[in-house]
Amino acid sequence: MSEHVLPRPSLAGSVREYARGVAGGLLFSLPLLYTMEMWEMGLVAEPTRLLVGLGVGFLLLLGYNRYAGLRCDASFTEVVIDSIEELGLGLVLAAAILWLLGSIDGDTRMPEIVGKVVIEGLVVAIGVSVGTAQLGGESPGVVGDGNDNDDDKNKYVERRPMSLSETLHGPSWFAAQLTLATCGAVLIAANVAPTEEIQDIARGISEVQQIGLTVLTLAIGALVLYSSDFRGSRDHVLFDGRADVALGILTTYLVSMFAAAALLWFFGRFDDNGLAFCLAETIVLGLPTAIGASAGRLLLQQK
Amino acid sequence: MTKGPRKNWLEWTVFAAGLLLLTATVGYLGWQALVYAHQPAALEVTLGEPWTPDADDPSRVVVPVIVRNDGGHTAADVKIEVSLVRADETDGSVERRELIFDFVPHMSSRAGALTFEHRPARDELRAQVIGYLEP
Repeated sequence: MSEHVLPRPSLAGSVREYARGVAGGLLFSLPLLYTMEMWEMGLVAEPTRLLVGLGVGFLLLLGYNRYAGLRCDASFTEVVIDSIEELGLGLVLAAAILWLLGSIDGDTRMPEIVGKVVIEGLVVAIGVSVGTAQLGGESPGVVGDGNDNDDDKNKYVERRPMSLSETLHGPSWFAAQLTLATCGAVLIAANVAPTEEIQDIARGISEVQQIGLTVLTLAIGALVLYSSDFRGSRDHVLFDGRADVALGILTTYLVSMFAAAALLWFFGRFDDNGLAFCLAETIVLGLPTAIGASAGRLLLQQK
Repeated sequence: MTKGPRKNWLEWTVFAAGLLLLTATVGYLGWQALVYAHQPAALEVTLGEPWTPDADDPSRVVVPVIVRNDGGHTAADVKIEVSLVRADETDGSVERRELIFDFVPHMSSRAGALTFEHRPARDELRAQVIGYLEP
């Protein structure tokens, strides 16, 4: 196919995409839609925190759609449009499920509805985005896998013969992997981040156990990325020499800790707590985020 | 490439709806942040009309309790005390009841009920918020 202007996607194709999005949204966020702490968060979160959450969530969607989304070959405008669609879809889906579960009803006042819907909707939106891009089949002719543009085709042909290290060392590759690692960390760890258990564990464990968790967090990254032949690790991880391995493990660890801290702040788990306790919480959540930042990152790669 | 986004009407509709919803949400939250951010919880208790659920058992009287929060923050574990006060009793108080609400979000209300053994007259009930937690 060598037409320069692609036809608009068919209605059936769009409906299939939205259906995948809805399925993905529910698949990845259902545990959180059924979690009491999330509803309570919707009650107590200040408007500014919700605004920050919306902003960061939107950035994550932009990043994911840019580097692994269904149309990541597309222009920036299209990525923005897709992200807004997904966020809107996430909010609507969250509101519908929350109503079906009786968490909001006709008597619920506006601040409570908005709080609950925004918190749950953010998670659903990320699920929608991942579902749209990852859950699709390979059936030819489905609009959306439209890489059949001349320019794209040339790029694709050019890309392959280059040696891996040449393509992999670019800053844009690094930015892509950082973004996907963050998305993976948030997607996997969001399921446990709001629960009381994180605080309970952080209160209960000793310094030795915290160090042990840190070692395990580092080891998980190393295992998944470098010694398990995990799906996609050959294409998306640098293998050349010890420096690359050390850099990869450390970057994954940093992303994990940062994502853990950000999630904990958003869910109010840092409020009024001392530095040592906040650090313990971050270490406890750092293990799930590290799994997300390594295994999740590889699973999220563009298909 | 100078062509615009490839979209059909359905996708444009979903996009427009999403944009509208998002703008409304952000606008609402921004307004809330400006107006309510620094106001504490402001709780007020009101009591409903006492009623007897079982006509054969007049010693069980239910008094509806409604607590409203007109402040800017959600209150947690809101403890309410309602007492039945009669001037002719020696210590003044005939019955004392307590009720705890898990959460009373800002600009919202929550309802519950207390059971008394004596039927209170209109001016015999005293209700107050004993305390609450800032979540």
